[in-house]
Amino acid sequence: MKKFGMIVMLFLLLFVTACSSSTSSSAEYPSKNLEIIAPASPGGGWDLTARSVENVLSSQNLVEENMSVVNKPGGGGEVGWKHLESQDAHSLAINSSLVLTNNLLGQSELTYKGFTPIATLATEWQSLAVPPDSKFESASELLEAIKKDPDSIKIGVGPGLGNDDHLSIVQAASEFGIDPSQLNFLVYEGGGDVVTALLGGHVDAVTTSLSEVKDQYLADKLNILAVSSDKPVEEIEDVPTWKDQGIDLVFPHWRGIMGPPDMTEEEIAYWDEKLGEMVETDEWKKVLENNDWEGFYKNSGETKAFMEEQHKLYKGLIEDSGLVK
Amino acid sequence: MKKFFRVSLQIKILGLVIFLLLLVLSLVTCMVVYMESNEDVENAEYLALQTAKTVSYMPIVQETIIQNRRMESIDAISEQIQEEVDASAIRVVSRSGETVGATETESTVETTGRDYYRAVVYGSNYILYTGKGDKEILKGIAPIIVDYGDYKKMEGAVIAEFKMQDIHNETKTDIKRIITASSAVFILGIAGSFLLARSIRKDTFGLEPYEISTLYQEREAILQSVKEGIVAIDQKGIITMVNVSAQELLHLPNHAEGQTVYDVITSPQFLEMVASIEGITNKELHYKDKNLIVNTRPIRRRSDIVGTVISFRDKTEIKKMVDALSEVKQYTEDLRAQAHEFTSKLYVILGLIQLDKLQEAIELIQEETQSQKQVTEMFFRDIRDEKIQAIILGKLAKASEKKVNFKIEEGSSLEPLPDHIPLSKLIIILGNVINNAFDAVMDNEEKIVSFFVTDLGRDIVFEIADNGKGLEKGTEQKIFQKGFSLKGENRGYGLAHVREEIELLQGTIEIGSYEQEGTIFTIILPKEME
Repeated sequence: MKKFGMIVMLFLLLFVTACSSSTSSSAEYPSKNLEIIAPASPGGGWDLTARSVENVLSSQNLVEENMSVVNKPGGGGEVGWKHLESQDAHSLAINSSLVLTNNLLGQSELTYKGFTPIATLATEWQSLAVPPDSKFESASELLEAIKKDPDSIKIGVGPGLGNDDHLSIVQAASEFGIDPSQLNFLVYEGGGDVVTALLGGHVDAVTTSLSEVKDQYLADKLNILAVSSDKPVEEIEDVPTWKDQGIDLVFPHWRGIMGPPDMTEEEIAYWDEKLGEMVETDEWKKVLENNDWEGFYKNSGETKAFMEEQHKLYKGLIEDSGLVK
Repeated sequence: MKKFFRVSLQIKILGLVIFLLLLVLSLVTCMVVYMESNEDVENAEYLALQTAKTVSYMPIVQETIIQNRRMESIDAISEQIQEEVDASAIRVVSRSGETVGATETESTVETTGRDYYRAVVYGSNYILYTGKGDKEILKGIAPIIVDYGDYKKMEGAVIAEFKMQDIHNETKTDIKRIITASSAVFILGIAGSFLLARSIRKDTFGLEPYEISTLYQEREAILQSVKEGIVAIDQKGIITMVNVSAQELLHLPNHAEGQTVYDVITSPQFLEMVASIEGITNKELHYKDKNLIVNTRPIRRRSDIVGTVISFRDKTEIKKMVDALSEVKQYTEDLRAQAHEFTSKLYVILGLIQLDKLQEAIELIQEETQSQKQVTEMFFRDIRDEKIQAIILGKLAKASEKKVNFKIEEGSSLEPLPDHIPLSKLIIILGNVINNAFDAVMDNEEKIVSFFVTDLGRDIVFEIADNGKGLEKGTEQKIFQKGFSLKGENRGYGLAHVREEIELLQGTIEIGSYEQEGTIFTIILPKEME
């Protein structure tokens, strides 16, 4: 009987301490400095997103704790995300579709399911651009030509296959009934090199993010045949979307933010509140405008659903595209 | 059913060992086999991928693919590599799907564009499984990336094929080896268990465990059934065995085993005997209210004492027996005295008749008859219990020899006594008290001892009165203590025994004494025991 009592006491004690520790941690979150991991070197899109988020949250006093941005470049995000995996809830990392495609393309063991989705923040759109003197006036003309003779049309892409630039055109081609394996891709080192190759006449078309070609388009140095947005983009309203040209394709190049695995509901709710407020501020809107990004905010719940839907899409694109049809 | 389970030690050990060995060996074998087959497949996957990659980086392959035509040299290289890595086929295909080089072996499963789609479109390296069953083929696929300086292009793919059947066969060989090894261990284990069983049987003199337990129980029963008290203790004084008699004699608590002897026994003399190294033979010890005869015997292992066995008998019981015996002896003595008296009386009568003094002779006979008649009539009419009759008769004889007037009081009456009062106890109780009364009146001029008994009501009441000089004040209770006597040394057990016996019969004894007037003992015994 005495022993039994001891055991009950022990359990009670455990229970009490467990309760108190869990409540105290959630009540105090965040309890120390916060860090945002940019899984790329300074100056890239991920780094820019991380610094913008940190800047707006701090300057608007939305978050009182000190925040810092940490750069962990390498492996197409792999290094930074791997680092995040072992951190506590005070570290977050910027992500994009690479968190899905790296795994699907067999380049990484990490999956999006290994992390806690926090939010989707902004998106860019993809564009298909041709030289100003190109004989192709519309995207469908270009696709028609590819269908006839795939090898004759050289398409520039960079910095690697499998990114959103590449996938958007793969999806467009397969929607149009072209076997993507027939597409004649030339792979360049980076986004800038792709545009240079286009301007230099080395390729017939390029697929790249809109921000890379928008200025040249406005300067009439090249022509944009299609954007992957669902409605015309500001300033270049005359450029048709893929949908306008009868191809069912909306392809966001989104960026979001995610946390380490197993964050508590309270911690997730904290970020839902703070980031929800952040995307409403004028400062954040200014950031979007300056970078040619579009507001694409989704809270943690919506982001989770969005990730699943995107994963399905990418999986289909990478494993089956072109050959199922 | 029970007999079925009573198997020999050998079979028990063997069964257990076989069961455990089978369990452990099969678990380990399963695990190793599982890991082995996984590892084989993983190794094959790695090899397939590396082979495909290596071929894709070869300058000659890159050149050939740019020219997009089949070249003999590629076939030769493919075959050479195929030999080295034991692949079933290696194929180099261009982006447009044309085979530019291949080993001669025909691929059992057709390679389709779908297989190398991811390599050509996304530049991925990966593993594919195609086909089913025996025809399942593992394919390592790598893109051929051609660097044109400014840009790169996916120009084709290399497919290295391995037959799963070959990999499975390899695994099977490994499994066979593992099973052989575990069988050897199994046989070793069985042999070991045989040896173990034999070694144990040697230690137990060939007795099976159940035989040992039967033996043990027998010994225990023997120990418990002897009348002598036996206690065994180890060298620390902890009691290891107590039999029933010892428990009763020493008034030990139940389950005294495991406690130290110093906790349960308070008598210092007893403990002294227990501690004796030499051993003790037939030493008398007064313990609580008993006299014990104690023997101790130390248990030695080599020169060390590892314990002691103590045995003891109750001397009180022996003494009681001796007392009863001497009592009986006294009766025969009394009867002999009476017979002698009669003989002398008969001689007197004979003498009177011979002297022709017939009148005196007749008077003597009448007188004698009168006194006998009074006694016998009373006896056989009122005191119906034969045991009491016998005792009183004996005492009457003794009284007449000692010239004591032993009177049976008028109004005495007694039905036969209940069975729970045995003769032996009555002899001790009444014999002692009446003898004491006789002794008390010895110095008197007129020696009168009277006996009264009645069984009216629930109790049987005896009263023995004498007209001796009575007891001194304050000694009434002392006379029941052992060793107290008014008659001298080494005596004084009589009344103590009397009281013990009366208490066993749940009766009481009272004493009333007046100096110079006499003493009355009143003994009350219930007719029914509770």
